Amino acid sequence: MLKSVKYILSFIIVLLMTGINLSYAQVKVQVVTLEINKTIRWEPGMSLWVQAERAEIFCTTHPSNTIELEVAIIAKNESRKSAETDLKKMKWLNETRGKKIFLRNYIELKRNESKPGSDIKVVYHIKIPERCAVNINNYFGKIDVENFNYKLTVNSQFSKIDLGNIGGKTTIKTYFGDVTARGIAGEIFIESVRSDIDLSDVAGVIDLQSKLAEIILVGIDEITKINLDAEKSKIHLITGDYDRFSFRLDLYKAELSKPGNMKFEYAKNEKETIKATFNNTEGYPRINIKLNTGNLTIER
Amino acid sequence: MEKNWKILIDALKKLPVYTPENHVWKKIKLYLAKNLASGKMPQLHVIDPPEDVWTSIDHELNRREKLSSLKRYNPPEEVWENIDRTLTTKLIKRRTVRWLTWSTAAAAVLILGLFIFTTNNGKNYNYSEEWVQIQDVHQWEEDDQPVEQALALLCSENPATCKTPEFKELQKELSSLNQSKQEILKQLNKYDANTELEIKLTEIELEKSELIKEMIAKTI
Repeated sequence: MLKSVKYILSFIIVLLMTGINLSYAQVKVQVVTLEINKTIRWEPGMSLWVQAERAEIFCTTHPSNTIELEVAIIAKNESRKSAETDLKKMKWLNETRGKKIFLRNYIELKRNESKPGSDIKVVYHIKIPERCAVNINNYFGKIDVENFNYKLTVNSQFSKIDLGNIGGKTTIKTYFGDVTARGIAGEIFIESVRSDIDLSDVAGVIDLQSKLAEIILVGIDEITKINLDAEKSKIHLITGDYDRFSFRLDLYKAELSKPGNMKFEYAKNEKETIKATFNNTEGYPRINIKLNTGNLTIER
Repeated sequence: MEKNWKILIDALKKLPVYTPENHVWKKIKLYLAKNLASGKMPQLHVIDPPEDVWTSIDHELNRREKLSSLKRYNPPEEVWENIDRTLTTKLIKRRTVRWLTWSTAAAAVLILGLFIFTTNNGKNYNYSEEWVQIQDVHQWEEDDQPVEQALALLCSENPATCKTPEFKELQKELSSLNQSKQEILKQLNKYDANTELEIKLTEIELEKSELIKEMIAKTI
């Protein structure tokens, strides 16, 4: 009897301790949100330029000659007053200059004003006309573009980039911002530093220049050409039927892993350098891979 | 002659009015009938009015006579139509003015309402609460100083190696990683569990470890 009481007491103590521990870890925060809704008139030839920081940007198209905008500026702090004060430090503006429509957010500090202690972020939901070129710059945050088939330019630092059902001309420059694309076609140019690249269901021409990346290319049946120039990277290429492609490899200090039946013609196969071709004739979609340090895996 | 005629009239009007009893009137009536029959009623004085009274009566009678002798004309139909049209136009004008006044007032109210609506609707503040787990942002800075001190010590013992281009390249890379790390740390907030940034910090730390190991290996 005494033993079971001891067990129960121990159990209660453990429960209490866990509770105390949790109460230390979690706090109630005040969330202040400023919502801005706007409709911007668009005419053919006009382009959208987003200059954001600490922003989550969701962009898609709609069949209309307007740009529909929903912006939420969110500040979180244990003190509501601090959250409100910090929220006001995040400025937002929209202006049209000639054929360019600008959206911008930035932190503005007045003299002797301290940096925001609250967690602040800006969430953009943008709907654009189908023929509106888009240029997005973001510093910390997230960029998500879907169902777009015209001209997309993304310049990101520390921002994850997600693309879905993208066509036309796409240019991406990213630093510490991983790129994931599902269904991407047209002319695609990606320049990345310290960012992983994951592309699937790819069509058209891809030009990829990466440094310190893990690169995955899957579902490349519809591609016309791939130019991949990487440094200190791991490349994973899943080709399906590799006989349908023409390969040219230029590897330095890199490990090559390929299906056993895939017979390359080696111009150079030394300890540190591999120069090889496969199906080196006209008429096949070409895959050029240049890799300085890292490893290349080709899979069916 | 009374000078303050109006004052007198007003004062008289303010006097209390008394009506005699019916038997008083009956007595007066009987008295008058008796005296009139016996011819004992005193004769009233006859006073002639002044000349100017007769003159003004004459003028008034003459004016009325002249007015009645004036010829009467019936205006043609179109005159009445014109009058009618003018009156209708004036009525329409009056109605238009009234309508314009009301519509201006309504427009003012609408503009004010729209202004309030757009300022409220365009920019809405919402308030809510949520529970978050406090993040330990400083955990990422803990190892930096001892590593830097260790590298500085090794370089002071073996300065030649630390001056080689290879070592300097590694140093440059390490410095670039530290810079990126600091940039990320500035964005971390104790209220925000930013897993993606923490993964990037982990990658930076792993890469830094590789570099540091390589640098140490070169100096030993």
